[in-house]
Amino acid sequence: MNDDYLDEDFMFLSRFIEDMAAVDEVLQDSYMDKAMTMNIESMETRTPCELHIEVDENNQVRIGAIPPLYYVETTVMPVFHHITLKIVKEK
Amino acid sequence: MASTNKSWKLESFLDSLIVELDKARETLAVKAINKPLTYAVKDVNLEMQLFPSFDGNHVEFITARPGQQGASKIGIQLGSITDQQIRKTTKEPVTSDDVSIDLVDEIDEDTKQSLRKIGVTSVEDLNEVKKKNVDIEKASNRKVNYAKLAKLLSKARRGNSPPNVKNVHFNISKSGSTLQVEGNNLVLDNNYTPVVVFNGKLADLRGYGKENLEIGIDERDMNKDENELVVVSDPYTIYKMNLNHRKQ
Repeated sequence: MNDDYLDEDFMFLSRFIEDMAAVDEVLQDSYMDKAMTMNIESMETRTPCELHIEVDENNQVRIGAIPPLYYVETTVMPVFHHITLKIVKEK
Repeated sequence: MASTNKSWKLESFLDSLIVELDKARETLAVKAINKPLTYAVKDVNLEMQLFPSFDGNHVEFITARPGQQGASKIGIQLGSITDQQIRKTTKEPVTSDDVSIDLVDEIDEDTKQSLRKIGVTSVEDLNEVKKKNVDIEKASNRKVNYAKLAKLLSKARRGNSPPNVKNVHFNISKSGSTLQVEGNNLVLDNNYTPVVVFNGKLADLRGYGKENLEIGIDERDMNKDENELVVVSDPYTIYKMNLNHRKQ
């Protein structure tokens, strides 16, 4: 298990946010023989997530997060928290 | 061993949340060095399903577990903050000359908590409150007695800055003899006039400060071999020196 993961199921919240912010791709296409590129100026996303909050022996809180493993309705549903992120392009 | 089924204080949770967000921002900032197109996290809003609990002193939270109904929803919104805003809104850390109330064992936990609630975390904070004539007993619902607390904190501050004598010079002259004491933290309390006793007799303290003392002595009171100098610099500090006078 590497440093990005709190345990075998949950990654640290920082890693979760980094992955959500990984939108640094330039969209390329061509129109009328001209190449066109587009990129995202800003993005706001609200997504359910599962959180894993644990307290270590020094009373330090550690926060793990993952996107929901499944959305299928089951008898005992996992608890869905929500995270909203606003990501903007750096000038 | 970390526990997942343990309640946590909101303050501890927020500390960790901010650390996680900072870590993510740092990683993205490093990425920006190599990639021309990069993104920054501007705002994070976390809505959580929690159960609060109150043990009589603190409110703590525990995350709802699968199948649990009726959880409270708490939303935490973290926005970007610039270093200038941090400077404006953050208290200066406790300096080496100051004493944090958390480190004073004589202050009971209830009093510490009452002080924290009114924003007092160090001796300097308490002095600032006193300077502004705030009735600290009233502000803390009569849980804090200023005079008692000031004494405890002064004692703790003195304990952190013990006197340190480096040199003592005898200046013998017909017009009047003096003893010059040099060092650090010799006198710290400006509200108290130090008392000096030389060979059992009250001496004339002509000048004093943090780094020096000038003591007028009568040459007839000096012994050939050993002399004793006792300085009471404040109600918590007494230091005694045995001095040998060597003629040069």
